[in-house]
Amino acid sequence: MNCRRVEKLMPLYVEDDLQPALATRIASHLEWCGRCNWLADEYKESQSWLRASTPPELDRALLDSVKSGALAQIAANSQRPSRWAAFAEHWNRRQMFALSAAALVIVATFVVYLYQTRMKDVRRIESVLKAPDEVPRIDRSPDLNIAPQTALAASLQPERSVRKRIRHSLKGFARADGATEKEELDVAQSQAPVVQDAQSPALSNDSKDMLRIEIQTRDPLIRIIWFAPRESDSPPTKPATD
Amino acid sequence: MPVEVADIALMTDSLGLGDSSPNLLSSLAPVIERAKAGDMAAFEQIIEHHQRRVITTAWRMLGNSEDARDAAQEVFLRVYKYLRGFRSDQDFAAWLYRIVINVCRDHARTRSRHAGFASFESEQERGSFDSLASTGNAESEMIRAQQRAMIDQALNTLSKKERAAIVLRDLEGMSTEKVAAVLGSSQTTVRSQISSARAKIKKYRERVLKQTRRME
Repeated sequence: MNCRRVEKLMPLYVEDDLQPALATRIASHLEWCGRCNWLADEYKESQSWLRASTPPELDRALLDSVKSGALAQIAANSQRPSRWAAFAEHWNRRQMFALSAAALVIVATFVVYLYQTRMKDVRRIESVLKAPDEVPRIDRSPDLNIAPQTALAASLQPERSVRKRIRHSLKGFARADGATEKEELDVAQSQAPVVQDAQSPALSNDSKDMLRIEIQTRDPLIRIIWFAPRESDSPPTKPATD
Repeated sequence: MPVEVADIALMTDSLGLGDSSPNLLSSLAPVIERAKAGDMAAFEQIIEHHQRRVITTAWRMLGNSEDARDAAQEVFLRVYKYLRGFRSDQDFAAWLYRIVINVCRDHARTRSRHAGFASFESEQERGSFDSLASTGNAESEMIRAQQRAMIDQALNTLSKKERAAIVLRDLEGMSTEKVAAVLGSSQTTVRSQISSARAKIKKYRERVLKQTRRME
């Protein structure tokens, strides 16, 4: 054990506040280290100086005054009515009834407000989940070789915020009924078809040789639309995503 | 004075300042139970038994006789208020000390004028316990009062937690375990506070000694 560590432990060593094993190590260090010995003596002197202060003498009159003062305060406190009693004595029975009724109405209004706010959220989420077709489609461009990037970006922008809102709301729901967020999303996704193969009426009018393929991803708000020529051996065109 | 009160007072005097030996505490257990039931005579016995130690500890914590007196009254008021919540398996002395420490902390917080140290002169002006109980010669009283004031100044260099720990451990003679129970801290924390407090007091004493030598 070095002097630095002994110096740190010295305030506890001088009053036997250390574990015996540690105290023995310090004692063996003190046997040969003069500087630490000197430090130990200083601490011992400081401690005896602190203890030299005798407690103040308390005479009978002082003790009696403390005792009588305490008992007088207790008596005064026990005679003083409680806060509720002090509050109630200013009101008669009819006023107390009216006050209680008013408090009850306020509480009930607050509860109804909370319930309605929650139900509003539920309805909004249900409407979003049950109507995935409301997501705008990108089939306005008759020219199939040009990807409508601008329209795609514009249509995706609001969807992201909607998706965030749904996730946020679903967190609250998961807590309410014990289901996790992931389970809720899975339920929502299972309601949407995974793969859809249909021909767009617009395309059938403009280009009858093209096939429109719609793929609904697991996310109800993302749908991949694919246009391919009707010939089986020709390569498909670039996919567009909405 | 009822017979029991006289007995308790006699025992207290013979054992020093509120000795809390197991035998005495076991003899106090029925008194505490009666006080819990609302017996005021029993509560008076509790005050009689503990007031010396409560006042002394409060004085060491606050460094001021007036505040110590007020704090002691507040302590017994709180004891009366919360005695029903005291469980018989608890250590009454530790429970009481916790109240004393809390009351002293509240006093120190509310009265900012006592945040600074109580100098020897100010203590003399206000009138300490010794001036009330002075029987010896004036010179020795002055020396003792001066020494107390110096020690109080040394204690004022400590933080509130360190002061509470050192007062209970070194001046009240409690074990570290009991100090930890009273302060609601771990033993390691209490050891750390005690260590720091002893180092600060040693430093303060060295500074005072240097000043004294320079003046001589």
